[in-house]
Amino acid sequence: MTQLIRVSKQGIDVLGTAGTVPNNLIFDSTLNTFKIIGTGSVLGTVTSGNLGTISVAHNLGTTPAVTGFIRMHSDRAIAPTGRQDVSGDSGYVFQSIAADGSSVYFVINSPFLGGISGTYNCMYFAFEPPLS
Amino acid sequence: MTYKIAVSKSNIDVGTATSPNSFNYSSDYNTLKYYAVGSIQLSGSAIFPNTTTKFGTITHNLGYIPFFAFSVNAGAGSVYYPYGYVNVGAGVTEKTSVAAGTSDIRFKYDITNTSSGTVFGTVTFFLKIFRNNTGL
Repeated sequence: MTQLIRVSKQGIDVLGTAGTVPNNLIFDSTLNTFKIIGTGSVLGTVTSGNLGTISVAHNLGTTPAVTGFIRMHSDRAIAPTGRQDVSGDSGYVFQSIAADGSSVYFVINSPFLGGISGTYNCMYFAFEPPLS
Repeated sequence: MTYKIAVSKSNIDVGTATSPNSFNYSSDYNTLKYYAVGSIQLSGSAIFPNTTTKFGTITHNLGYIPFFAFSVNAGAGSVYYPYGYVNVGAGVTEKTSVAAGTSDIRFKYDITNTSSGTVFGTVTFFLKIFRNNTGL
């Protein structure tokens, strides 16, 4: 007999047919969960008119799946591919986030000469499973 | 002695496994904890050669900048873009962005007329907010 743990959403009978549908469940021990195996942050600078990379070591011994957010000064924080939270399209861009076996990389595009230069506060979440 | 809850993957001994990749769940590792979902639609028009920016917000009042995820539907059927929407089309350029503050999430839609006349566009953002604090 297979033993498992399931927790259904409110109003769903966990023992009925609806209780076998993953979208009806809060937790199902037969399904892998997105585990946060590490987080970290780093301060870095990208000068205006440049595409810059800010990196930080993750010390996980493998290449994790990652996502992250960046924030400059008191701006709102943006996710990868996000743009500075101002009118129009003249600010910085969080172009991408990447990871290898040692570090996480934040690629920031500040394309406009005479535009935004400054320090970015970058943070990441690293998830299991690893990519390599 | 440390107590924990762990569920190993199929054919893995939960009593001896140590790698996070061996578990479907382990209380040793944090998870993303659901807080709220929401959606918002933004529409805009632009007369050549201008850009129109539209903003919208969804309030979360968590008091910190949370982990958030979103997708964008630009009205083209069932296609959803999980990292924002950028369209460079005939006579129009559209871009979206989502940004989080300590009390709300703000959505931005830029539409630029690159040709003539007036262009119109609508995008819908679908948002998930998690209780995980980014610390930013």
